[in-house]
Order: sequence, then structure tokens, then C-alpha cells
Amino acid sequence: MATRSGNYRVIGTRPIRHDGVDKVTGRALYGADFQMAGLLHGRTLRSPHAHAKILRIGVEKALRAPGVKAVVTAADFPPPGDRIADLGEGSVKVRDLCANIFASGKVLYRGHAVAAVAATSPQAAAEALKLIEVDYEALPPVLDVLEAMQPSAPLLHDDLRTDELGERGTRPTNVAKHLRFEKGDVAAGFRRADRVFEGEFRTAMVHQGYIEPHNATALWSPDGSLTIWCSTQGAFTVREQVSTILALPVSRVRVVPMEIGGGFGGKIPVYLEPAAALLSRKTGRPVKLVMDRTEVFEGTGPTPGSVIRVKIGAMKDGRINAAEAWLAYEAGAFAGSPVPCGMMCIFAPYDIENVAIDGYDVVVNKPKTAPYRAPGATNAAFASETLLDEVARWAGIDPLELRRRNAAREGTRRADGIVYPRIGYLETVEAASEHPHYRAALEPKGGRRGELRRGRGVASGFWFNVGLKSSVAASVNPDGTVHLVEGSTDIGGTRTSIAMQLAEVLGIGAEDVQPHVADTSGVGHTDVTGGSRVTFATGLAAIEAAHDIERQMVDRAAALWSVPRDEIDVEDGVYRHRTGSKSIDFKELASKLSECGGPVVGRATVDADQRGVGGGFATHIVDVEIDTETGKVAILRYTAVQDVGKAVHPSYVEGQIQGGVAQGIGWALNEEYLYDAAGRMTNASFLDYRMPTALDLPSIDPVLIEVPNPGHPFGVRGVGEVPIVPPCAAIANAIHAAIGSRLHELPMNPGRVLRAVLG
Amino acid sequence: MTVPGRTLREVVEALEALHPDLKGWLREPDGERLRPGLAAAVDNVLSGLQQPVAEASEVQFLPALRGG
Repeated sequence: MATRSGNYRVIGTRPIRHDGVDKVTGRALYGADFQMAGLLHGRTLRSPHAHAKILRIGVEKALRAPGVKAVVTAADFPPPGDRIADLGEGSVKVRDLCANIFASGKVLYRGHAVAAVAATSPQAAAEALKLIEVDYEALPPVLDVLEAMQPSAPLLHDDLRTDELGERGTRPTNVAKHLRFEKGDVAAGFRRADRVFEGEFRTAMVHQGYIEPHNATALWSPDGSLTIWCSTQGAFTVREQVSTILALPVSRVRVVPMEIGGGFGGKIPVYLEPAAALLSRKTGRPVKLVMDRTEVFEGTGPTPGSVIRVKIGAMKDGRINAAEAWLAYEAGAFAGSPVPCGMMCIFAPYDIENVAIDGYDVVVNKPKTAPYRAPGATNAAFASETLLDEVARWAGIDPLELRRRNAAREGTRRADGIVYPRIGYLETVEAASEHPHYRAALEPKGGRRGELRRGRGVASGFWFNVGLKSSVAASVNPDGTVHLVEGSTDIGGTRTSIAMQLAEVLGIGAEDVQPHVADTSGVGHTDVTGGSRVTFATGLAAIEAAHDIERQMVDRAAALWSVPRDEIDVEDGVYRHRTGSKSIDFKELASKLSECGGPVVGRATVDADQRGVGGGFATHIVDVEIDTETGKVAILRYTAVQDVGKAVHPSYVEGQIQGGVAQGIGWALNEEYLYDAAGRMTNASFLDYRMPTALDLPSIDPVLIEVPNPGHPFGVRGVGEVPIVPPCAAIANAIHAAIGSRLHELPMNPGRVLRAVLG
Repeated sequence: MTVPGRTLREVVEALEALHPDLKGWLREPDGERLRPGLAAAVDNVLSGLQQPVAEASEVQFLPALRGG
């Protein structure tokens, strides 16, 4: 597919987003805003134990409480059997999916849902929860990934056996899976190396931190149809999960995605929807459930903590000739951590001849993990990019020069076997090297007593991005505008980036396209908003729908002028009769459609995995200042260089980069799930789970490098996930530059930094 | 490893014939789709079983990964 180069009329401009006015004036409707006649309010009872058998659940007293209309538990689910569901984010055992909605037999983490109540008010529902009687037999929890891997560890699932490189183990275990990628001969590579570097790194469980809690309203109609309104990254994946859990045909389930206040991957799994549906079925009324913040922390899906061991063999000239990694990721209560993603990304920016990567997916008594923006890659890059910094210092080579010498390029084969198409990693390294930030002087010390130490660090990162499937339909209005119906919930301005691509093809303005995110009954199947796919994949669908419209408009012009259609040319939205003097623009032709054939509707559906998804690379530079008396780390300056393919709407690409970096900084310096010995999260609020605010961060400077993706007509690559990958390592390297000590554990909070300062 | 096949499905069938242990590991029981959790790339492009395969094509099997 040819890539256009040169000037575009719409692509690359910065129109006001179509949902902007509603979003900033409070008119946009989110799930918690939803109201309906007869609405009941639901609340969820959650386990106080991290690990326990459920001996009995008594709901009789709760059912008699004032205002209570129904109570549901796992017993209300149809039997899940051994089915596997293929969701928008990979596969999952249906039994595990159900058991994470409501515990069955055992509770596996504090916050694990046990029952839900529907009542006439939220207060009545909350009071009723206190009347549900649950008898538990407490069991010892296992909270550490390495402890969970020991044969003597408490077991979460009696029937879990390790999928050991494709063979099922025989021993009961907490290790769900062992994967391996291998390329070349890593042992020989290490033997040839001039020096071998090793390190062990630890990261803590962290949460996506979306501002809007999970919510769902369900109405189960007497005819057996179910409608759900919810905050989700994928209406079709909600439909798939709910229909699977409740054993309903998908045709009986309609999901209406409300506006979403952040997701980052955490709003792909369902939590409340099946419960709301069951309560609605029992009561015959709509039921709404909304989580509070504690429930979000304790009862949804954070990203795993991990232990990662990395070994790198280097030559004196800085060439890396062997690399090995061992990654163990917490899956939470059920199998399915993003360790395969971490394995894919850990050495991805580099052309290394000999690589071996082992990954382990391990269950622990914590919430079942869910994707978080480039899931698994930030953990991995923290380890590999920190060790690379050590290599650079030993070799006496500038760290960006080291990366340049080892950079992956078009034709480089990754450890998992994929060969890169045209990529822009080298360009990000070169741009970072030449950036004024990298060349600016940085005073190493400051403060009245010299207590402030400053340092600069760099790191790179990769995310593969995904394609998946999208559908759109677009109808031409008589006034020359186009109504665009698509199925990608908008979590980053994609309504506009998709509309812009349609507008570019048709030769109209972005303001002349009215994008609408439809529910599952109003648009063809569209996979999740995740994997940095929407501007690429749904954009492809919009481009094809625009071409479909253009073909029909040519037909209409031909009919209008009574000429053969192959005598009509189209350019920039103007239709010209090649041999005559007639021409007409899109708007005027649209006004005449009723005279020359009727309405024009374009449509398209794409499987974007088949089109050439472009991976994304970034290289970041950060200056830090450390107060050696308190251990506090301040970010002085941050530059994020990223290959974005083609920035359809540069403001939103810059916003994605800034947002990802901000999350990466929080991950690096402050954020972690703190647990007591009983497995209780002790900081389950935004007061104590410390995320960066505008007061903590300087302006983050995004630098957009455009190496077009050959798989997209405008060169688009996914951009949303790469920016969270480098910050932890870049900051760790900057801290080392400032104080001469390397931290191998996240977060690098003041306590840890101070201990490093004091030695 | 080199195996014959004009489509990814034929390649998988050839692999299963050479290595019977792979039966049930690559495909769902009805043979119509790759096993959930598994993806295949033909010449570095993710593909379904119907994907044509050329004489010198390279096929890789990978964990199915998505993103956040």
C-alpha cells in the first residue's frame, strides 16, 4: 500500500475535537450519570481476607432489609464448564472469568467480590451488605512472586499445573505458564563477550489510576434481551464476556458504551456488568452499580509486580553480543499476566545476535491483573535499560551512542522471531542526541548546602501495537457533511483522528464530519480501544469507507451529467468531467443526491492485523534533582522523543506522550500497592496511593519523529503505549548520574533514595 | 524447519503430521481456528488459517498479545 508523503489538508492539523465542548462543560454523559425510571442501586460485598474458603453465604437477612429487592452470588451464574473465551485482550478460562466476578468456593484476594445487592437507594444497598453473612475459613496468603513459585507455597488453585513450554506439568503449583524465546547461542555469546553484566530488578504492583471508577447499569427485559450501559474500552468485548458468562446468545445482549474517564487497559475486563445483569433479571428493573475508589484498587486489575533478572554480554566497543532475561510476573489471583509482552519488548530496540528469554506467569493472592498501557513492557525496560546504562559507563561510551551502535533496524529479527519492517528507532536515538536538552549543561550540585544533586539519564522503549478488527459506516448528509458511525470508544481523541482521516480522503473539512461512537447494535464488530490500535485500525476502516463514498459519488455525478463514470476524475473533493467543463464539489453534489440516485452510505470493515501494524519506539531524556537530605526526587526536565509514524492530530499525539510519561514517572517514584502480612492493601485511596499531579511535574516536551508506517496510507503508527515504557529506567539512570548509586527496585521513593545516598 | 503447504492451515496440518504431540496444541479441537492465546505470523503479518503461504514464506507462532 503506497504511503502518501507531502502536504495534507487535514492530516497534521489541530481541529477542535468533536466531543470537546461536551467534555469541558460537563454535558458529556458518563456511566455514573445514567438515569432511568425505576432504577435500583447495587453494591458489592467483598472479601476481607486475601485467601480463604467460603463455607457459607447467608442472604436471608439482607433480603428482608428495607428497600432490598435482590441479592446475587456465584450460585446465580450458569455453570461455566471448561470453556475458553477469546476476548479482546487474549484468551481466558470462562470459569476464571466468572470466579473473578463472584468468588466461588474460595476468595483469592482481599476485595474479591462475594455477593451483590440491589436496593431502592445506594444507602439501603450499603446497609444490606452488612446483613449478608459469610463464613470463611482463613488460609495463609502468598503475596510475593518468588515465594509463590516455591513448591512449599500456599496454593491458590488445586488444579493449576504449569504449561511448561507447551507441556502440562503434573505438580500442583502457582506457576501457570513458562514461556521461552531463543535466538542464536547465548552461552557462546557470553563466552565471547569482553564483559558480562548481571542484575536483578523488582517492580511493585501499580494501578492504572483512571479517574472514573468502574460502573454499569443493566436492564434485563421480559423478552430476554439485555441492555448494558457502562464505562468500557470495548462494547463488543463486554458483549462477548457477558454473553459468555451468562450463557446468552450475543444477539440478546446490547452494550452501550458511555463516555469513559480513562481506561489504560484496565477497563477491558468486566467486573460489574454480569452482576448488574443478574440483579436486573431477578428484580425486573434496571440496576446500576458504581465502584468507589477503594473497590477500584482492591477489586479491579492492576498491573503486576515482577522480579526480572537480566544478563548482558558486551564488547569493549559497546556492541552487545548476548542478552538473557528471566522474568517472573504476578498474575494476581488467576493466570494471565502480561509476561509474554514483557518478553517481547525487553530487548526489542536492539539488534542482538544471541538472546534467551524465559518468562513465568505466577498466581498470587492479589487482584487479578489487567492490562496497563504497554502491559509488561515498563517492568522489562526498567531492567534492561538500567543494565545498558552500566554497559555504556564501563565502555566509556555515551549512552545514546551505545544505543545507536546496537539499534534494531528494518530487517532485524527479534527474539520472538518477528523481523522488523521499516521502523524509526534509530531516528529517535539520533534526534535525542541532537536535542538541546541532551546538549544543555546540567549543574551537578545545588542548594545552599550543596544538598541537591542533579543527574541526567536516558532510556529507550518499544511497544508492538496491534491491529485487530474495526467497522465503520458513513452517510452523506444533504448539506455536505458526513455522519460517521464507528465502534471505538474514545479514550484519547480518536473520534477526531478517525474523522480527520475520512475528511482527508473526501476532500472536506474535519468539522464537516460528525463522528459517533455507536453501541453494539449500531455498528459492525469493532475490537477494543487498546493496543494503540484505533487511529491505525479504525482509521483504515474510515479511509476505506471514504473511498466507498467517493466511488458512489462518482456514480452520482455521472448520473447527474449523463456521462460515463470513467470520464470523471476526483481530486480534493472536486468531481470533474474530464472531457467537458463540468465540475462540482462534494458539498454541492451532496445536495443533489436525491436527484441522481439517492442517499450515499459508505462502509468498511478491516482486519488490521493483516495490513502491517507498525511498532513504536521512543527514547527519553530526563534531568532529576535529588534532595540528599530527604531522598525526594524532582523532575527538572523531561524530553520524550518518539517515532509516531504520522501524527494525524499532533495535539492528541503529544497528549498521549505526555500522559504516558506522567504515568511512568509516578510508577518510577511513588506508586505501589502496599500490603500488610495479611494481604490487605493499606493505601487504597488516592491520598495514599500517590500519583503525580500537575504540581509534581514540569512540562513534558514531546518530540514527534515521523517515520511512516508502510502499512497505512498516511503512515500512522500507534502512539499511546510506548511513552510509558522508558521513564522508570530513564529516571533510574538519572538518579545514578546524580548520586552514584543504582536503584534496582521500584518505586524509587524517598526512603529508598535516601538509603542509597547514605550507602 | 521446512514443511509444505499452500495455506497456513496446510502448514499446521503438515506440522501436526510430523509431530503428533502438536495436535491439540496449535488449533482448537474442531481445527477451524488457532488455539486461544496463540497467534501466527506469515512473513511477519499476523494471519488466520486461511492465509495463503508462498514457497519461501516464514511462519512464526507467537503468544497472542494485545495491549492496554
